[in-house]
Amino acid sequence: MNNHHSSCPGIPERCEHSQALISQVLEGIPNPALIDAARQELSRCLPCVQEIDFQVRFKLAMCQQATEHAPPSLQLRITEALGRVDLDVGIEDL
Amino acid sequence: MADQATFAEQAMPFMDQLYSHAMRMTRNAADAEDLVQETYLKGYRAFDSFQEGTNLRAWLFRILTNSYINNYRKKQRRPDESDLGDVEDLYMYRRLGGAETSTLGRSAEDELLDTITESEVKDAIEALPEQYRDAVLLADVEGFAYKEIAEILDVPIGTVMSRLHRGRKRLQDQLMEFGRRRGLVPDDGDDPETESEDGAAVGAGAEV
Repeated sequence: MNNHHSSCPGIPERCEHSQALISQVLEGIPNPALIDAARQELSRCLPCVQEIDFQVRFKLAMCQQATEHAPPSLQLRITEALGRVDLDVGIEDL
Repeated sequence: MADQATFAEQAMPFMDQLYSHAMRMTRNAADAEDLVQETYLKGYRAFDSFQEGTNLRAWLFRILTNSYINNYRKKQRRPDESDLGDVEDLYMYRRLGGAETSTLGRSAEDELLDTITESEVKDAIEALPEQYRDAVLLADVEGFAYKEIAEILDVPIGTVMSRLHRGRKRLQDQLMEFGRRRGLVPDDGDDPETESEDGAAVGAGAEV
């Protein structure tokens, strides 16, 4: 499984293998199992493990950006606008 | 093919996410509301072309993004938008004392990330050139997969990877600057930026 160390220059940004794993780990919603597997695979290269840990923590910091709630009036506006589309279609059909 | 009668039921749960994204793009509540309304209207009209079983959230984000590009981005174009070639190539952990220059240890890095405020993250994201910002927001804030981002932004996946790689690095640099101001990161008297090299993220081809 661990074929990382043989080709790794010890500098994550120059290591295609660690970059590929980091890229996989950062895709979508962070998946703890995938993160653990990647850390295991990179375990013989401390800078690569540090890099993956940092990138994951950075992503989590980004994820914590709060979702803003749309104002209730917006839902009403949209519901009314969708209703008007139906009405327009109905009138055109007459 | 999707049934238009079920559009509101299926699409309304995404309103907060769409509104948040619209707010981050327009930086203006009134524009964000208009953008979201336009998205729902376009989505409703085109819903019979939506393939059921595919990702409705990504489909709505694509409509939102296209509407933004067509109606708002032109008005708000910023001077740094074309500045896409400026790639800084050092990772934050190294500056904070990674394996080669360790003086601070990892606790400083942890502390920095732990103490970044939401408004600092928001400011750093807003300071990004828009093309990077869109990719970072969709990937790291909204949690879309790379393929979905490519579809939403209508660019090749390699472009998504490139923008993400560069955008994340810029953000990290910006946040490190906040850390510097707090004394968590040493000033770069011996700034290793001089050793910068080409960023070569996997899949990150030239910006297209």
